[in-house]
Amino acid sequence: MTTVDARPPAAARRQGGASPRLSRLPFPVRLLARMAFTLLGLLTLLFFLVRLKGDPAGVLAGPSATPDQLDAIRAAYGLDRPLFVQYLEFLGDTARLDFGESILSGEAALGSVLGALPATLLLIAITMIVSVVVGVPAGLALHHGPRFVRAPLGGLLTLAQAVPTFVIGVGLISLLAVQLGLLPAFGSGTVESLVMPTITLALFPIARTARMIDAELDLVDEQDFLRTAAAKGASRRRVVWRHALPNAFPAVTAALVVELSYLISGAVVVEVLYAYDGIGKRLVDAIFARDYPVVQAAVFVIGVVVVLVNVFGDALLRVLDPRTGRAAA
Amino acid sequence: MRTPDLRFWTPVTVLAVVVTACLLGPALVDADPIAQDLGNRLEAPTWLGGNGGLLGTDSFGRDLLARTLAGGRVSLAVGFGAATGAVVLGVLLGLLAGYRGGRLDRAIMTGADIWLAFPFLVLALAAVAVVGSDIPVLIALLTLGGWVLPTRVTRTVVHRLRGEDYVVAATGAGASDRYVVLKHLLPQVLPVTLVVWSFTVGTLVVIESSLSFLGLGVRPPTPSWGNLISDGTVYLETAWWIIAWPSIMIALTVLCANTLGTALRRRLSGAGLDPEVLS
Repeated sequence: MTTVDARPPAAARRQGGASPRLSRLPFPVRLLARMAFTLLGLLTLLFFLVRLKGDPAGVLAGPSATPDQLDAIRAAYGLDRPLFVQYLEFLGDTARLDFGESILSGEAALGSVLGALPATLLLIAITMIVSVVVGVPAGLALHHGPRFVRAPLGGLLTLAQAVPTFVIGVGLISLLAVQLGLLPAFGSGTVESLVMPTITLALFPIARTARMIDAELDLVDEQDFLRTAAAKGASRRRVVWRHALPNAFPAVTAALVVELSYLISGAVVVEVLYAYDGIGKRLVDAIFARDYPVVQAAVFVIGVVVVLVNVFGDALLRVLDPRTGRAAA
Repeated sequence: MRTPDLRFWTPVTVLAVVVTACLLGPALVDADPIAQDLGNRLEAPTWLGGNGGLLGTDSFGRDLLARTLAGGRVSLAVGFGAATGAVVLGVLLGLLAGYRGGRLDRAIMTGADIWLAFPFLVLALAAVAVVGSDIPVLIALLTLGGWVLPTRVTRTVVHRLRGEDYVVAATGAGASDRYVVLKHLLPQVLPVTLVVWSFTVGTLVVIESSLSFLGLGVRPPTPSWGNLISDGTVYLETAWWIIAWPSIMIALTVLCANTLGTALRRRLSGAGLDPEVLS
């Protein structure tokens, strides 16, 4: 091995990952290859997870099953065949989007999961919008505000980053729903029922966005183009909003993409907490009911969403900051 | 005399108090965290005029002071144990990626990117559904939830050090890989690791309590901060104290772990180590 060789600077490696051979391919092809690779990895993980404890028939049948019942289940699910055959068949079924039927309701597992997806996506999308709409001004206040604003704001943001989602949620329920009776504590489908889940989920990303805006503004504060703009007579407001702030957009967009996985994890907790009928709640319900086809379908659907959003985010980043594309090549 | 650095010593002190209290819990409180006393259900703390001891009792009449401390034992054991595991794993992978470079480096870092893109809680839930949630399983699982940050940080540090004159000189003088890694790289990586460890403790305590809150982590009757809160949500209107104490403890622990990490990072960057590594 070589111990010393020339390394590209950190910024050029930020996009990392693609091997030299792959990087000669056009960007969309590379992206598709990575998507397929990622999903394959997830499926493999799912497949072996179910077999981790040895016999999935035992898991499916529950602890009280008789040997005859176990044999019947093995035959019914094809678990008596070689592992490799099972794996290929699992991949084949997945490619045909067939996860089997829900053990509880009998309907197609994928269908029942997909039905709950829009509600979750809505929650996450609104949370992202809120986190930017509130987070950006908060970040500006944190950077340019007077001292008596900065200190308490910084404390609040630190607190928002430290308190877990469900603690915030329980607090909100007790305050807004139980004490004041302003909003419904549970349920889904109405606009009011979105308010508390959104606030609960958004506090952390708001804090992250604000901190990031602050840090990115730090980087450009002393740069020439800001001084030039000010010298040309641009108002302070214009210098901040028009000249300084856009520099933070790529970082904020990148963070939103990364934050998606946090938001989905958070959405699971929030959906259970507020009895909001989304994919996270379906997943947890299915786990409690030992409804494994639905569990697999839910994890798969979440995986696809994550991959798609990452692809979309990568593409968006290239539009927002052309440097990323050049640096990665 | 320099004045003590409060931003460092405050979280250290608070964490030390929390950990000590939880460890010594059974010795300090004579109530049993699991023993039920159904005649004494949902009693308010004594200072609120109730009959529930210092922190009140829950829906089975169990003493909440004892339960909060016992729950802390479990939550902290899982959090600290898994964070330590994650940092060890991360340092090994980071050294491998950063020192070997090339294809292995790309493979590990791509793996890290992909791993981070997935919502870990979802994977953890699926895993727990199959393999159960005994405490050793939880620790192993959460180790997998925290390996990315220490791996990335270690790799970045090692990458930068590899080009340093003394590393090049050692290699040129015929030092073995093992010698270079142990003598020249690891000592520089370890302080940074401490920062990562601190942040990771915070993250993993949250994940453990989220799992337990959903009813899929630490299983009752063994208390943990997460399942204490989950027990208390039903009694939000009548007995708010059930959720109050574990919530405060989680918030305090995570807050202190994060502040400690920030303070350590500040110290390190003062000592010439690049803070940018951790941003």
